[in-house]
Amino acid sequence: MASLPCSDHTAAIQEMVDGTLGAIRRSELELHLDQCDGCRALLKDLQRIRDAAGSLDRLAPPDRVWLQVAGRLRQEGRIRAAHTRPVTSRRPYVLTALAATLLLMIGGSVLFLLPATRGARQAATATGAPASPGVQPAAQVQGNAASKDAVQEGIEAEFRLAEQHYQNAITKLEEAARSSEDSIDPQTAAMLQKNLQVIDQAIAESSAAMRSEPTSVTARDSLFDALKRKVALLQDTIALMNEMRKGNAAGVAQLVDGVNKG
Amino acid sequence: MTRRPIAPFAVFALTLATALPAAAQVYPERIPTAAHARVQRDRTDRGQRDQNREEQTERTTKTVKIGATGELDVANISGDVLVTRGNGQEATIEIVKTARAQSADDAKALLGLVNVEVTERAGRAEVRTRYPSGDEIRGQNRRNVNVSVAINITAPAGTRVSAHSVSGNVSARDIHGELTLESVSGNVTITGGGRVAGAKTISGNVDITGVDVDGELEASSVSGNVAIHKGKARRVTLSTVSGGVALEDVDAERVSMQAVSGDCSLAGNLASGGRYELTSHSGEIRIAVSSGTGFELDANSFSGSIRSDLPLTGQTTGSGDRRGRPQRSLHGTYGNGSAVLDLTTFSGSIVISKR
Repeated sequence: MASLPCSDHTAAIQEMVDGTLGAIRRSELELHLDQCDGCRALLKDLQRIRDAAGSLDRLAPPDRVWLQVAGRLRQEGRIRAAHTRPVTSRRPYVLTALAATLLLMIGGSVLFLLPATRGARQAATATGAPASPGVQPAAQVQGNAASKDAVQEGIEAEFRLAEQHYQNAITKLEEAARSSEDSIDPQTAAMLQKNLQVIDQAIAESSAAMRSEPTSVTARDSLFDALKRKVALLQDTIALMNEMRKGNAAGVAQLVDGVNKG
Repeated sequence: MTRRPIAPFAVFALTLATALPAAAQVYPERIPTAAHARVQRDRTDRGQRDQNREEQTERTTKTVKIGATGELDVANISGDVLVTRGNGQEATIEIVKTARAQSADDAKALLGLVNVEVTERAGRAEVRTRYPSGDEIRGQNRRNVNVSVAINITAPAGTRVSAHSVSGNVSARDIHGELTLESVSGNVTITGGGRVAGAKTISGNVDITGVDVDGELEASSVSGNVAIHKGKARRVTLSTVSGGVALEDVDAERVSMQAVSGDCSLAGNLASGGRYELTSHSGEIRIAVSSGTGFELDANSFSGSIRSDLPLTGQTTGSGDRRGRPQRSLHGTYGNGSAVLDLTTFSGSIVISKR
């Protein structure tokens, strides 16, 4: 099994990815990275997460999201009360910046937390305890001195945001499919619809499981696997429809490759 | 969480009456409907209609010089593609067009509307099926072109083959050049062979037997089963949504098998140092291990049961909850623990047994 990253270096690795690590600590970390597979893997993962998050579409969060985040930041003592007022439509630039920040948080946190929670699954499921052993380092990196419950609550909020992000993407994709003037043949359409319903069922079941057991790593992994699968299937279905419209048989066949990803 | 209905597919299926170009013409049954039941009824109607129709067939054969390690690129729209191993430096391409219409004359006329172009250049041959455009069809007072084309190719063993069909099966036998076989609505079958770049379908099964791949083998379907029997590959990735995935007697160091509602099944030897990740949402995960390599097990299910018939050392279990639900995690080591089994299902069960 792949070695785990050293907890002593997790913070420095994240700072390196953020570009905030000083020269001396950077040199020390590089020496360590040369010798530690686990930390190298973590660095690579985080860099990939950063790149992936950077490529995501901007998301305009509803005001309640800001309130949740602001509340958490205030609880952690990281912002003053004056900064916590809700963003209004008169300050769209603030909202945009917030959206970008949230997007990075959402994308980064879900991608970061998922592998971590998978790794921590054994402990979490064996004891029925939250998956915090796998995710606490992320919280510590941010200098979070809040209680374990608060950390868990924050993580759950991030997952909810990530889930919302996926749902937004799904909504947009469904709108794109709806607006298409052409279509694939009815048998293939019916089959795809049926399979999307299968994925919907998986999403609904996993979501219900997360509501009943918020700390279940299996439920959480299952939910995000299903969401990712649906996004991929919708994206490639739209591409397939476009190729069908062109009457491009070879192109259609090529697209089978994409339709099956996810 | 807010569930979103899959409305677009109902909507776009309802907009099918729009005139479409060539690809549309191969679906004479195309009618504006979104209901699966309606589709099934159409299928039955079409079958009965075809039985009452006259059939005409046209068979032609072409030979192309592509060399022992040449390349074939086949794109069909409606009909099967089969590539089998031959000898020498040439590929023989048999094209069988089949038309159905109300009269024999009409069927014969339809045959002339569909062309199969074979082009050859520098060790590479392309086969393309061309249907008439919508305007051409309407110009002949027709609504559709009910013609399917079967393409049977005999090619040198080392030929690199890329074969696609929108509606039809795609198969290769004993071809050792790189294979990329894909279908939208049809099965993909590979028997023998050495390099499989991809074997994929949306609505159909993928079945691979007796391959020896020096690298990654990827196979997938959306609604069908994906199975590999007796073979070798460094890395295997299988996925489907509503079908099942199965691996039997395949030597591979890295295996990833994913299904949503179907089962995942792995039977055979595990590679020392190998890693096997099987995931299904509601399907069952079955592992049947042959004697030899041991493994480290990490099995998890949210609401299903987990059972190992093999003795595990250092075993830990996540107990069921107070409501008496079944065991939800099982971890431990069997034998030398040199392989890793990472098994996850949400509501299905997990069974590990000796083969």
